[in-house]
Formats: sequence, structure tokens, C-alpha cells
Amino acid sequence: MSGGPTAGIVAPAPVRRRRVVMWSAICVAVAVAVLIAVIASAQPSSEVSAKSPLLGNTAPAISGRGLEGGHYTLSQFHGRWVLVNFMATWCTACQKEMPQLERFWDEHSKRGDAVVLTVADDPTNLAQLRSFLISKGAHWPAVDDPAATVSYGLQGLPTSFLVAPDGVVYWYLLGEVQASQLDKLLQQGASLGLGQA
Amino acid sequence: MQQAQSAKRHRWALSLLWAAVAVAVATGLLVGTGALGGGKERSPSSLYERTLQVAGEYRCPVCEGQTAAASEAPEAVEIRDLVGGWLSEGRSQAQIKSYLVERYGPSILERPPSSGEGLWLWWVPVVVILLAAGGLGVALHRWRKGPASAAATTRFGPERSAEPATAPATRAQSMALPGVGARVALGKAAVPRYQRVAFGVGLAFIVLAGALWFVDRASGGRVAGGTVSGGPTGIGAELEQAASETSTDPAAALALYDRVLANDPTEAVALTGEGWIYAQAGFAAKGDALLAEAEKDDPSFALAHLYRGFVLLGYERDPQGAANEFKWYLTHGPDASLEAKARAALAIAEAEAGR
Amino acid sequence: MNIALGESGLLLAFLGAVGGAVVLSAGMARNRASMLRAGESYIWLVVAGAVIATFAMQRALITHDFTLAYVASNDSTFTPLVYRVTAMWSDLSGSVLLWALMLSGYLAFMWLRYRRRSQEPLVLWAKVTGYVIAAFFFGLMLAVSNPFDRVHGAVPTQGPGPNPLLQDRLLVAFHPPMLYLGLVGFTVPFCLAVGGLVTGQTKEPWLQEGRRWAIFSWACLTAGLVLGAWWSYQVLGWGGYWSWDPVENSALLPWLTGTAFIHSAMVQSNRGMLRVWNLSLLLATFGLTILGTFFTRSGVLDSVHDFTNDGGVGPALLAFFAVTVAICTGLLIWRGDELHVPGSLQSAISREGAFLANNLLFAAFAFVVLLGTVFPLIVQALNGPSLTVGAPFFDTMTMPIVLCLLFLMAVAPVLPWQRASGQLLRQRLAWPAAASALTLVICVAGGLRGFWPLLVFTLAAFAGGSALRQLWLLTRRSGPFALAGRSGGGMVVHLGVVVIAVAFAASHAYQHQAQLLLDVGKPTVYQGQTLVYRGMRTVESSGRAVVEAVVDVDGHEYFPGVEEFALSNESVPSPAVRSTPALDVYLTLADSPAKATAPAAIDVTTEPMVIWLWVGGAVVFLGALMSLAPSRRAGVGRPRAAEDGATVPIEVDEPLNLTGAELEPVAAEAASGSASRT
Repeated sequence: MSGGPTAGIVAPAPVRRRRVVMWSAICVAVAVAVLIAVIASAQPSSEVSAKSPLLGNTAPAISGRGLEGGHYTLSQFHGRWVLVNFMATWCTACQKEMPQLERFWDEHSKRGDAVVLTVADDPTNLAQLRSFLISKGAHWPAVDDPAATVSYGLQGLPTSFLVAPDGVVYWYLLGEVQASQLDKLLQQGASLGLGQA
Repeated sequence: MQQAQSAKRHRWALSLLWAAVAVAVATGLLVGTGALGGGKERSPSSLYERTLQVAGEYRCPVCEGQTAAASEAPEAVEIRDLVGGWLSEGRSQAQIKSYLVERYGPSILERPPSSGEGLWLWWVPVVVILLAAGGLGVALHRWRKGPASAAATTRFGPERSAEPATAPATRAQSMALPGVGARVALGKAAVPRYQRVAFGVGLAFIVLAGALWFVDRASGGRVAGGTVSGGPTGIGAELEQAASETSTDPAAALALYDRVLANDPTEAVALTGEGWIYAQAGFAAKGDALLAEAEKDDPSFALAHLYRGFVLLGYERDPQGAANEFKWYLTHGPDASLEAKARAALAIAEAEAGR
Repeated sequence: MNIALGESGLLLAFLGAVGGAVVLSAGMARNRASMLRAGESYIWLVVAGAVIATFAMQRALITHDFTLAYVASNDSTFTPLVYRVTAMWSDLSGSVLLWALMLSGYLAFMWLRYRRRSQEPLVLWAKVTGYVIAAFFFGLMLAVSNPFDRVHGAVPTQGPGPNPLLQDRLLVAFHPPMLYLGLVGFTVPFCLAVGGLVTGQTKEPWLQEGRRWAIFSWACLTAGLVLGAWWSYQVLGWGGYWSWDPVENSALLPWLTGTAFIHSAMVQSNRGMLRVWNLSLLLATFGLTILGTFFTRSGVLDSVHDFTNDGGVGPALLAFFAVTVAICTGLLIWRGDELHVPGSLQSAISREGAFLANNLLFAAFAFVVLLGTVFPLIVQALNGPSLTVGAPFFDTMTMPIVLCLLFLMAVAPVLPWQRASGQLLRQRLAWPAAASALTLVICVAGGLRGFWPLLVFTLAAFAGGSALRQLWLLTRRSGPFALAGRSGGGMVVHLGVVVIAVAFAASHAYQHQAQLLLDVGKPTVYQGQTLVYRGMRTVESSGRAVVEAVVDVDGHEYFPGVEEFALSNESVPSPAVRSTPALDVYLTLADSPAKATAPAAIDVTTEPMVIWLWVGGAVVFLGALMSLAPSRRAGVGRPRAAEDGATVPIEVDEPLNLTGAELEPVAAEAASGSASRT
């Protein structure tokens, strides 16, 4: 310690001072360590998928003009499983999952127990979506209902909701679906007795 | 005596001033918030403003960190449309909130909830600040009981000030400074050279910044350049016109293409058009070169390959090269109207190459 | 060739940094001057490597060298030259290169400045720290995110160009470099602080050196933040400029602790107190720049400003942050006893007390911003429901802090050291208080309403009045050139902050918005502005086309539109702004009319006083640079005899305050005619 005018400083002061500094530094270090642990365990925000609050509730209504003409509603498919699929042409993941949707459609439209319903995401993009679907050979109903993106709580693309025959939302995925996954879910649902309207 | 009296008057004037300030501020704030008459705080008046205000309380569900009021994503636009409709129907904000939270979950709200986890978020900072202030108070108390301040003063020496030390301002201490009066004349401190320089640099900076800002305003903030075409179509119209004139008035078409190229020498459509005109006028090599440049500048413009194929087949006597060009054209998105022509030309080219 | 050049540059810099650290450490351990000299010279290898790598990258971008993966994904043949140059920092790996370039520049500056003291242990330790940090950033590029990676597969002939949002305005050429100048600049005082802690020399005048580096970096960081806000305002299309976005917060956090440090360091230079605070703030500022870099590049937080996530950079930066914090807290724990306070606080109503309160408020501000930014991650880690912490939280929590800071800005400059009496304050603050009351009365009389904006105006006028008073006293004492001095610069900064606060409050509280359907040629009046829509037009230039509406506002033409880029799916809104000192009229094209004669839907936002935000920012920048003027005492660059601070001379430029007790000796001194006491 320096001498001079400060020589009269009482000796215990520095000890008390050091403890204060040391303990606060330790507290800060612990807090920051916790923060780092939290951050390190975080997934990239684009991969965080929340559960939909619609699960287990009645699926909101969908109603709109079909892309190829005609009018579609969700309720007209009551009694069958419906895979409500939100997509847009600019979304590469949506394009990647198309083959899976086609497989699912081919199998189940024959059996008559499930349909696919594509909902357009961007009302300014309908012509492109229609030509895209045609070029991919997607023959299932595609509807333009912008309000559905809000009533279904859409948070990204592609999003799929599996609606049971009684109209209740059974399953939700923000991401690409697999046909095998969907088949399993249908079997599961059937075993739970959801096959009936 | 004189000094004491003027000091007293000075003190009175000061107190009066502060009293006036207090009254003015209190009145002003009261009037300003409408508590004392004089108009209420402006609330958003039009439906549009209310829609944006309400939509601004919700996150855009598909964006990265924008509100539903700020984003142009289709989902955000849809939310704004729905909110606008509900507000005009007369639905309350609470109803809108419960609808949206039911669909999206509580993460759609920009304002974090005050209950559950949100409780920590809102209250931890308050608690921390109170604790810190308390800690500071305790430390202050302890320091006051510490070593005398005189030590600190002598250590760092007495201080000088630019403040006019008016005598009545401080405690009643003897202020009889020899021949100074109410002000301590400290003399003008010499201003070092670097300060003058710094002052000049600062002025120059202000002038320069102002000039740059005016330049930015004048240029619209964008990189200068770019053809402005009066009218809704611009370059497209010019190219169309040139294309239509190619057979009837190639010179005029050439002039139009030249104009387009003067602004953008890499415009593939103009290069293709020019190349074709030159080739047909007998300058096959020049036409070929222009078409090759069009291909290089815009690999996605397949038509250049078609025309080059024609030039190579018809004028340059290079059937193999022509066949390659036709093949490229047919595999890279041919026009429905020209596809048949291209196939026929390919057949001819392959036949000639085979010979 | 560019790849080879760039990689060799990076490698050179990395080896130079590692070699420098190793040789310097060995030289210190063995106390060999030759090794020390050698180790110090390696900085020029680092600088050379950085310059070579930058040159290679710029060459690759300008000449469209698509063999580089970075160029292939960020450049195109249609991109104008300016945006090719700025493409270097448009994407993640290139931005790290810019960071490393600036870091090597700053370190070289540091070397040059202390070349006469290069054998002192503090400087040596600071240099080792600098080498280690440089080694990290160059190593990050070499190992994790290399800007000179070769493209996979065939070399493309065309690329998508930079992100459309980053080729819309020239500000892309100014905001990132300025921001990085600010963020990277805090590395140097950090190195000095570490050196000081390790060697136990935490006293004057190294603190003053650290403070001056910090002021320069702070000035650049402020300019970077203001330019970023301006850029967002011009491009993003919603008429706002600050949305408490995680990336924005990341740059704000070091600014907050940096501001606290700059003020708190004045207490140490005058009273020798608050050493713990000062060192902690300096260390925290650097740590927060690293944390901020992490948030911007790791993708854990949603932001409209962040870089596309590159897997490895996040964990590397987080690890570096962890190591930095561990070392800093370790040093503080070890040297805590050295930070003994030789003085004491006599009274809370004193300048020391004000600066202590200032520290507290800024620390609280930083805590609130940090908590709000990372809270979604905390909730996620605890498996709670996902939460959004948006602008309402930050606005509500920071508003009281800002109001307290405005009040403090008014009171602190007039407070004397050690203690003050109420009478003194009442006297000195009389005119500023009168000014604030007058301002409020004028505003209310002029029809402005609303509690929060009026309160802000009142307090801002109070603070502004106090700053003007100080400037007036300074110029009266030393002429107008005194403005360009330490305290003059500080008061100019305060004025700038006051202007920004007023502009912020006014533009938020008195905003009006509408969507107008304008017929061709028909004038419409909105908020006192006459708008006439004249038609649409298209502007085409290299690689882009803008479809614009021609709107005449009060006699001047503006062109809100939508920009389409040839090689990208995205279309970027291109708003137009009419900026006048009183009002900004912000125009966005909501919908292109179907036909040439159809009416156009134009979104109009009128915001008062937005221009003063940018002017205020420039004033702050200018004032901060002004306050860098060196003091009259012997600088650190020249060797000094005494280091213990016992003979700390007085800052001549600072309007120090007089209390009664000190008057007599000072008057005697003035009478005897001595003018300085260096």
C-alpha cells in the first residue's frame, strides 16, 4: 500500500475490500457460466419447433376457391383423414416433400380413407403454385384460403396438420413429412378408434 | 454589508425562479396529459392506425424478428387484414388477443406475459436494481465513516474552476478575496495548438458530412446509374419494338439495340438481336461474336443459343457447333412456339455433321 | 491464385500471432531483450497477412473469381462495383475477415503508440493478450469458417449476388466498417487492462490511456449504431429504426458498458476511486463484444439482421467468450486487493456520487437488455413454453432508466467533486431549469400532448441547458477553441444525446400512418402534406429493376417502389423518404396498380424530427472525437518518473468546480500569476 496521507488507513479495510471484490467476481463468474450453459444448449432458432396449440381441438374451418376451379371446404372431407398441408413454391423443403405426399395420396385415395388438402400460403402466388402442382402430378385438392394460415397458427413452411375423421387435429409437423410416418399415424389412430366419424 | 444585502436579494430571486419553474412544469405536465383540461393525449384515430398498433403487438409468425405490423410476409399481411376486419366489426383487443394466442400460442405476443416465466423477466431487473441501490447506500454509509476527506484533497491538490464563484452561493465563509469581487479572475487559459487544429478538423468534418448527406439525398441513396425509362415498360418496350422492326427496318432496330447496350453492355437480348441482324446483313463473324457474348453474359437466356445455332449452321458452315447450340436450346427451356423449329434445325445440323 | 494468396495471408497472420505470443511469453520468462524485440516485431506479420488476405478477397470479388465458394454465393456479374467491394462483409466468413483486418490494424496502432515503452511488463502482457486474440480470429477463419474455401464441384459462371437487402443502399459501405471499428476497438483497452491486472499496475495514467482508446472506439460504435438505424429506416420499409432486435441489442450492450466506463474513469483520474468498477466495465465491454459477435453469427436468436448460420462459428465464439470471462474474473479475484480505494465518498450529492449513480443506471440498462435478449433461450433450456421478448418489454423497462439518465446528465456536470450544497445546485442549475420549464410551456401551448414525450422534452431541455451552460462557461474562459477540448467535447456529446432523445420521443409519439389510394393526378392532403400520384415507372440497371410510383410531395418527386433482382427470388421494398427538419414523410408502395391509369395504394407514415436522430448521432461522434484531445500532462507515450499517481496534475481543460474551502488558496495562486501546475 502507498504511504503518505493514506498511511492512517485502518488495516482491516483492505481485507474487507478484497472479499467484496472476490465474492462479487465469483458470483458474476457463476452467473455467466450458467448463461453460457443455457446458450450452449440452445438450438438454432430455425430448428426450434413448438407444439401447436391446436392439437386435440377441432380443426379450424378451411374454405376457399380451388386452384383448378371449384370450391373446397375442410368439412366436406369429414369422415376421412385429412392431411392439411401448407406450402409455397419458393420453399425448397416443400418441393422436397412432394414425393412423400404423392405416395401418401396414391395409397390412401385408392383406399378412400385419407385425402391431402394443400392450402396456398401466398395469395399473390396462386398461378405459380397451380402450375407447380400440375407439373408434379399432384391431383389432390388445392385451395386458396389465406385466413387459414392464421387460424391454423402457421409459423413456417412446410407445415402439415393431420386431421382425424371426426374433425379433431391429431398431429402437427413443421417440416417435411414422410409417407411412412403418416401411415403409421393412421394405423395408430385407427387402433384408437378414430377411424369412425 | 452591501454584499450581504445583494446576496440576500440574489437568494430570493433564485428561490422565486425555482418556484416558478416548479409551477410551470407541474402545470405543463398536467395540461399535457389532459388532466387539467386542454385536450387529451392523441390516440390513434383512423382504423388503419389502430390496426397497425394492434398488429404491432403480435410477432410476425414466419419472419425472423419482425412484428406483424412491420413485415410484408403474406402471413403478416393476413393478420393485419383480419385484425382490421375485427376492429371495424367492433371486436375488442382482448378478443383478438385470445383468438391469436389460441392459434399460435403465447409466443405470438411481442409483450412477454407477466405470469409464469414472465414473472422472472419483469421482476428480476427491478429486484436487482433495488438491491444494487441498497448496496450502494450501505457502501456510502460505510465510506462516510472512513478516513477524512482532507487526505484526499491534499493528495490531489486544490482545484480550479471556470465556474463564477459568486460569493453568496457557498456557505458563509470569508470571501474577501483581494481585489476580486464576485468573480475569481483566473485569467484566460492559453488554448493549445492541438485544440485549434481539432476545432478546425471538426468544422471540416461537419462541412464534409453535410456535403455527403446532400449528395446521398440527391442520388436517392442508391448507386448511380441505371436507365430510367419514362413509362411503364422501359427497356422491355424498347427491345420489343426493336424486335418487331428487325425485319422491316433493321437499321432502326440496330439503333434501338445500340441505345440499350449503351446503358448496359451486357444486355443479352439486345446482343442477340444485334448479332442476328449483323449475321443476316452478311457480317456472319461479327454476328457470331455478338451472340457468343450474349451467351456468356446471360447463360440463362437460351434464345441466344438458338440464334447462334442458326448462324453457325447457315453462315459459318459449322454444323457440329450448330448442333451443340440447338441441343443446348432444347434442353434449357425452349419456347413452345420455337421448339419444333429448333428440332428440325437440329436434325439438319446433325445430318450435315454426320456427312 | 486468389485462394492461394488469401489462405497464405491468413496463415501468415495466424502464425505471426501465435509466434508472437509464444516468443514474447518466452522472452518475458527468460528476461531476454532480444526475444522480446523479436516477439514484438511479429505484429507486422499479422498486419501483412491480414492485408494480403483482404486484398485477395477484394480481388476475387471484383474480378468475379467464382472458384471461391464465398464469391460464388455472394457475387454476380450484374452486381455493381460498390456492392462487390462491400460483399466482403455481406456474409459471415467475410465479415470475420473484416474483423480480423481491423483487429490487426488496431494492434499495430497500439504497438506504435507504446513503442517507447515496449519493454515494460504491462505493455508486454498487453501485447501477448493482443496476439492471442488475433490468433483466435485468424484461427477461426482457418479452421472453422474459411472465406477462401474452394467451391464444390464445377465452377459456376454466375452467382446470386449479395443478399438483396444488402445491395439496396450505399450505407452498406459505411455501417459495418464503422460498427466493427467500434467493436474491435475495445480490444486495445482490454489488452491494457489485462496487462495492468497481471502486472498489478492498475493506477494512473494507464487508465487514461485506456479511456482514450475507449472513447475513440465508443465514438465509432455510436456512429455505427446510428448508421445501422438509419439504414434499417431506409430499407426495411416499416418506418421504424430500432426494434430491440437481438443483433441490435448485441451492439448496444458494449456501448452501454463503454459509456459507463468512460464516465467512471473520470472519477478514478480525479479521486482515485472506483478502480474495481472501471476495470470490470472495461473487461465487460470486451466480453460483450464477443458475446454480441456470437449472437449475430450463431443463429440461436431470431433476427432480421443476422448472418446465415454457419455451424462451427457459434460454438467457437461461445468458447472464446467463456475463456475470456474465466480469465477476467480470475484476474479480478487474484488482484482484488490491489484495487484498494484510497479515498472515500463524502457525500452522495457530489460528482463522484453522480458517476456512481451513472454506473448503476448503465449497468441496470445493460442487465435489462441482456436479460431480455437471452430470456427466450433460458426458457427454452428449462423446457418452458416458447416466449417472445419484444419491444414492449424493452421500452417499458428502459424508459425509467433513460429518464433518470437524462436527469443525471443535467445535474452531474455542475456538481463539484467531494460535496455540494443544495444552494450551489440551485444556483448553477437555475438557467437550465428555466429553459426546461420554458420548453415544456411552449410545447404544451403549441398543442403537443402526452405525458411521456412531454416529460422527455422537459428533461432533455434540462440536460441540454446544463450542457450549453458548461460550454458557455468554457468559451467565456478560453475562447471558442475550447469547444474542441476534453470537457467541451464531452458537453457536445451530451447535446447530441439530448437531440437524439428528443427526436426519439417525438418520432414515436407523434407518428401518423395511413394507407392512401391515390388517383393519378389528384392531390390528396395528409397531415399537412400534399401528395400527388403521377404514375408508375421502371428503372433498370445492372442486375436489378425497380418498379416505382412517382409521387409528388409538396413539390418534390419521390419514388417508393419494389426492387427485383435478376438472380434472386426476393423482392425488396424500396421506400422513399422526404426528410425535412420538422417532419419525415415515409412512403411505401403497398400495391402496384394493375393498369397505368389505376390508382396506387401508397402507405404513408409521417414522423416528426427523424432527421435529428442522424444529426444527433453525428454530433455525438464529433464531440467524442473532440474529447480525445490530449491532456497537458506528460502522456503515457513518453516515459515518466513517478507512477504512483501522487503527483497527478490537474486537467487544465476541465471546468473543475470550486467550493468555498478551496477558494482562498486558488485565488492566492491566481494572484501570484502561475498558470499551470504540470
